[in-house]
Amino acid sequence: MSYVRFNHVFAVLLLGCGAAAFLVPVRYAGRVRGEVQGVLAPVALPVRSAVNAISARLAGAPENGALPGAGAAPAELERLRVAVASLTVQVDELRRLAGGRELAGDAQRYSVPARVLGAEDGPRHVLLVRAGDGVAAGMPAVWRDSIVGRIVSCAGGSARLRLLTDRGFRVSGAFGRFRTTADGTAVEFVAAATPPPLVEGRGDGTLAIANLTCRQLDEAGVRVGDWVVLRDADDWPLPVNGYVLGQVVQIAPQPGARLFAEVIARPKLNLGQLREVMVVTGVERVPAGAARAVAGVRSAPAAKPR
Amino acid sequence: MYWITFFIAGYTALALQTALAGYIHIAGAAPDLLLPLAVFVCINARRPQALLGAVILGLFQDMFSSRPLGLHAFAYGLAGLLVVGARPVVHRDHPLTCFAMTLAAAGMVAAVVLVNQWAYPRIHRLADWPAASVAAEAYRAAYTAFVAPAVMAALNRVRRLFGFRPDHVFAPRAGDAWRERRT
Repeated sequence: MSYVRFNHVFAVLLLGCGAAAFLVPVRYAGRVRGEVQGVLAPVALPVRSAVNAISARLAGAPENGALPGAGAAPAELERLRVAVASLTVQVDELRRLAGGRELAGDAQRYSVPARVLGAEDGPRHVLLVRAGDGVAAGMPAVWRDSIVGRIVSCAGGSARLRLLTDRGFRVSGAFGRFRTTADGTAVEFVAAATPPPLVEGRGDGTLAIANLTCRQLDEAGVRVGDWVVLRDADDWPLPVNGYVLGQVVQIAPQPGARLFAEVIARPKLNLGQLREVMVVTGVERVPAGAARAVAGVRSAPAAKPR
Repeated sequence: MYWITFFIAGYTALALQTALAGYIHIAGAAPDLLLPLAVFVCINARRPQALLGAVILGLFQDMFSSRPLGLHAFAYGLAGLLVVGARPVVHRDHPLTCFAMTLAAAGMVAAVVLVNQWAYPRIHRLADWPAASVAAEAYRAAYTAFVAPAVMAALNRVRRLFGFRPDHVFAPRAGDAWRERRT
């Protein structure tokens, strides 16, 4: 092909791409992308696993996104904490609903693991995960005691997981803190008496709450170090209510409206470095041992009668 | 150029970029590992293949990006034109050339991305579209340019697998000779 003809073809190609970049709504692009994003798995998964292990060894932090220092609490204490918070919120909601119509219990039982392939390039905080059976758009993803985000699309064996910290990600939460009971035998979650805070991702790895006044926060005694947990039974499954969204790191009056406070919270995990998440499908997972037992029963040859 | 090698290199660069996301950030910016490959191809391959290769790598990037489809293809195409236009006057294998060419290409890509990030939410009336950040794109361009010499050094080691042939050595075809006689 002569250069003149190629230049014409190239100009048309470039103009087509330019027009698509500015004029085609991004939702149409999502359909195309969903089908191909799983193809990176053969290289991306082992590389991410290796980097995660190296990073954990160098930083001295536990694997899979845990921030340095965050892993100091014993695993049992962490498990108890999330159980307490989760059950506290669930009991409140169940009382309100006057019945247990919703799925209740430990969210981990109703979830499937999904390996993280990597993160999407661009200003959005979106992870690409390998989607197993039963994973669909709208399902929440958790890790340990923290909310990670929500599946936004799922196709071709991979799914896009929008992180909690993505700009515009909104969820209703509750402030509170964990404390030991008077007799010292248990841990309880004490929710602060504020109107429901609207927690919103800021796109820089943090969360912001801007719908409460300084007075409301003062009266409820909310302070730096308190936890923000999920409390949104309308849009999120009940088992994940009470899971941690983040920890309050800053409370200050809003620059444009001094009566309102801007609360900044930081997720407990480094969400960009996760290697695996649990997607809450709502279907109870059969423990590995039980699955083997069932398989063994099915595959066992029938004993010959003597 | 051998297109199989080109596609394998593009796939590997994209997989590495996706897998390393979250680990190699500096000041919130991650390097673009496909752009050094695009610059490498644009410096070494014949003009049509170089420009086409740049657009294809941009499309690869678009497939794994949260930005509008076609944005990187457009930006990489423009960057390819820039590099192809400048290559007659540069020393192709020098690390400083790799750095400077990649910095110029990354600057071009950043400019296109910033214009798109400003215009796109206004055209489509999107309220929660991330705001354009000049600092973030500048960091990304600089970071990409700094890693480019290392990426290109690695690519130069396997350069013969790409089968590059410069513009002036390809065998003349019968039609070319005929055109020469006519002129």
